Amino acid sequence: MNRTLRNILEFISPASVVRSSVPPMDAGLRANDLLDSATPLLLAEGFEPDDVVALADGQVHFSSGSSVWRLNGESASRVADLGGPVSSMARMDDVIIAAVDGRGLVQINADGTVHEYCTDELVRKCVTDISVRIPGQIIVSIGSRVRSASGWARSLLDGDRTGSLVQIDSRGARSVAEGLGWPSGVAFDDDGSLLVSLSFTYRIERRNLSAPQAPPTVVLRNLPFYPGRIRSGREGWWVAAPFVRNRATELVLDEPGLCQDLAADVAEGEWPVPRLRQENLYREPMQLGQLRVLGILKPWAPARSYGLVFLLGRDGRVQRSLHSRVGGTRHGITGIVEVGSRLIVAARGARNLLELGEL
Amino acid sequence: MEAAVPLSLAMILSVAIVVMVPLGINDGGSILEEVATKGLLAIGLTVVLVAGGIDLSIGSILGVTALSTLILDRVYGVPMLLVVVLAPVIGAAFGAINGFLIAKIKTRPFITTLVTLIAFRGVAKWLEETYSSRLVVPSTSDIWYFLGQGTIVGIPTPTALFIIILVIAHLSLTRSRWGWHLTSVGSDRRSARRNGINVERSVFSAYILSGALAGFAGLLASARFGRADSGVGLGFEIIVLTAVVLGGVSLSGGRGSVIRAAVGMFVVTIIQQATIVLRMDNGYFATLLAIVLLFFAVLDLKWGTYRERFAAKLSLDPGMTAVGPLIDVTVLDTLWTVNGRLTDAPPIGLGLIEGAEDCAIDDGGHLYCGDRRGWIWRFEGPDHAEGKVFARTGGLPLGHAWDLNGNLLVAVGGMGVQRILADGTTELVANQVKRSRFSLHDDSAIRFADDLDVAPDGSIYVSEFSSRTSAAEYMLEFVECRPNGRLIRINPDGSTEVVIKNYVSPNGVCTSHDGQSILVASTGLFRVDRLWISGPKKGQLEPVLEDLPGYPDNMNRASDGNYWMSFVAMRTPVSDLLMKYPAMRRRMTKELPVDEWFVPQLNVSCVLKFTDSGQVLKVLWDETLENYPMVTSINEHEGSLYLSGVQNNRLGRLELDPEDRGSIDTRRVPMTQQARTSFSEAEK
Repeated sequence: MNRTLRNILEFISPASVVRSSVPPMDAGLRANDLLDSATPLLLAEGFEPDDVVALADGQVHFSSGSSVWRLNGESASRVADLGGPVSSMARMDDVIIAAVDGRGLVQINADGTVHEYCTDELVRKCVTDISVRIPGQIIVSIGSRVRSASGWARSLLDGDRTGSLVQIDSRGARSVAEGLGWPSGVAFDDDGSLLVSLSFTYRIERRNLSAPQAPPTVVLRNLPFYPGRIRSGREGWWVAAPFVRNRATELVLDEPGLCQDLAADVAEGEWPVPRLRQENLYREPMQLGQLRVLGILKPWAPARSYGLVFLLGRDGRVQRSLHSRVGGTRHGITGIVEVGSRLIVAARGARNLLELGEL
Repeated sequence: MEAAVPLSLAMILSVAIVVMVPLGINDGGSILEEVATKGLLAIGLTVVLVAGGIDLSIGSILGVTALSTLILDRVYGVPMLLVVVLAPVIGAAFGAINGFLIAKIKTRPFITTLVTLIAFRGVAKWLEETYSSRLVVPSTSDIWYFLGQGTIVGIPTPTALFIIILVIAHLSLTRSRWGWHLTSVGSDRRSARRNGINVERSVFSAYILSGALAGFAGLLASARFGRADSGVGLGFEIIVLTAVVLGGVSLSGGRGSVIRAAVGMFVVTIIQQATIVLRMDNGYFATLLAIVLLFFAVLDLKWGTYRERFAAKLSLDPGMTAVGPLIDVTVLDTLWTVNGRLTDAPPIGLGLIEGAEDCAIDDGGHLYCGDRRGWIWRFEGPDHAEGKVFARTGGLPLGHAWDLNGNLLVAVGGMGVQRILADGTTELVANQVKRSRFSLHDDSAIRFADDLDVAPDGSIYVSEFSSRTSAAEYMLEFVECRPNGRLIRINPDGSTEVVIKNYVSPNGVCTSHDGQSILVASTGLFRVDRLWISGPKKGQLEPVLEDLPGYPDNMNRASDGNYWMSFVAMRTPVSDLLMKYPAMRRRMTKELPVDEWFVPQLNVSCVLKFTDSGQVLKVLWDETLENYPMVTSINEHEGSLYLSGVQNNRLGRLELDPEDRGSIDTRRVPMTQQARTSFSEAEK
């Protein structure tokens, strides 16, 4: 609707116009510094862990760049080089299913051998998350039909709504939902329903795959961040939030001309959109609240990057959350895995794996 | 200014009536006569309203005095001149009753005057019943005729008298102590009392004046008609009240002008005349009046509530700027490449200072710097280990400089320019300039003095970052980016003069080494200009540095004949792009809290050295941002560079590279033999 019309309508009937607003991080999302005090697992540099899985024996594997690595003490050894950016991983019994941009789903066996699992056109690109219901029955979320997994910011800028969910089983791959706003995480509930996190609509919803026509029920709506991967744990589901919402960004997204100019004239890393980490202070946009006053950057300043993992309970509420706020360094959390009583998160923004013991 | 809204609406209304209704030139006379009588009531009512009260009894007072004057003349044969004097006195006596009840007994003005409205009307009725049979004798007095039908220099007497009284009332209300006291009482009784104003006396005087004017109007009315009855002045209070509110006099007190009230009276009389010309029933006029009064009363109320918000909406109007190419400072191995040469500068005053924009060093090596709490610190030389608060400015101390006598000059945001003497006392150098003639905005105050420097002739050049915003709202200028700033010269005799106006956020000011020009940095346009103050190009402005990669701040002379400058912020691709989108920036200021606004990258410290011809020689950074996240000024003194930052908790002192050392005394005003009465020695 035209903005002026919307303003007039709002004047006449304030309740009829819903404006985008970023709710405060409250209740279960109350901010803390737990991620900043977590133990880093990788002391060697050069990794950028994106997704992390643990095999049945507790071996932690993570993806970084176009390879899959096994965590060995304080460093990691390469399990397989997959020839393209690894955009997601999941464990299926004793093997790892990995999504490779431009290649499809591949299977990595315990001995490190790799073979194709599914190369259907539907899952060739931009697989953001994989969830295995039973061995042989997999559901994957596709962020966008038109971009690769690294195109999140560009899709955000032009309002891309071409995400989908694809089911893969013995009959092959077929799409079960279309036209979604960058679905970025999938996980099954015990009853077979599917939890889906939608990045661009800031919500987590529950879908019934056996009745695809039924409308999804919303579990969490209007989250103050862009939710990402979902992994089931003992008490519920762990959800990673790689990006945090920013009111100024949403204002920019509401200015189509400005968005076009940004896409055309400004490098992607310099856009006023959420990022996994601060790359280049001298070129990135700044918001006034981020001003260092007397040497201090306030933790509640508007965030460009943020670290957040939270536990979604079986009751559909946020039970607890782990944060790294503005001024912290453990930003851009993309992967999570629960190993026994430990939680291991892949902080892509911080380029490290973090361990949170004794939860 | 704000009364312009109801007043212009009223004018539009009257023009519409004049256009729609066949009002002839003959109607002008009766309109003037009506305005003269009721206008006096309007003046009185305005005075009472400005004092925060209301007087509904004016119509009744008019009626009583109209009858009384006739009775005095016809029945008792009092000399006419005495009657002319007695009429306002009688009115004032009735007004005194109102005043006594309201000011002393502290009854509510509305209910009190409503009661007296009825009571005085009763008095008039009684007078009429008692004397009516003896009032029919026609008057023979010349004065009576002069008041009613005579003229003064061609103007009908009542109108002429009205104009004279109007002028006097206007001057008293706007130019006299009495008027100011009245206005203060009307806008805030409590504050007025706390400021020592005698509230009771002010209020009392307002009612007395209102009564006296009503009394005089009564005299004019009876002179005009040659007769009077108890019905004279009936319903005038509502007509006058409408007129006054139409004229933009606030019903809630403190705001209003008698001239505007008179204009409102004209409008109401035109409406009245229009109904007469159209042969409409009197009820139409009353209804119309009620509607107008209601509308303007609501407008007055809403305007009073929302005017500040409305003004705030209008006050910020971002401009569109075409920005030049942006140098990428992150490209390796260029002149501009980010480095860490400032990082290890040892701190001064760590934990004591809160935000020193600039500093100055005297020749004893003692360092002086400002603080956001309005203090001037002094750190004992040569090691600057100990500091104490040396002076208090009461504003936000920004730029520092030494004057020809070796006293410290400080540009204080919110206060103007102050001189700090050796004993730590401050004296005002200047805080005003002449107001621009055709500007609605009052720009006579130096609101946001930012930096200053002294020219060889002793005059002080001060940059005013913005004549519209205060120093605490500097971010508004970043967002608005309009030519709101100016460069002001304070002459040695203390007079001030604007030498550059409409300049976009002037910040650093520096006298050139040859003393012939002043360098001015425009923060918002990323440039430095040179203003020639002597020589063949005197008065001209020419560019020195353009398209800088950051927002320049203070500038100071270097000892080797060049200049030091710092950047308060660096341009980013997004901040540059937003310069092209003023509507987006306006939306940003309206829809987002200040903390969310996009600004240039302020968390950087960049210092550069440039030559007179505008060549950049070297660039220093603190890439870690740990110690000096912002550098707003850089001062060179005897082999050291002093780094100040308006958001930093310290100053820094950096050893100067041997290649940078020169022989020029950076403290001395160029081309002068400054009297070296040392600041620190004078103290002893």
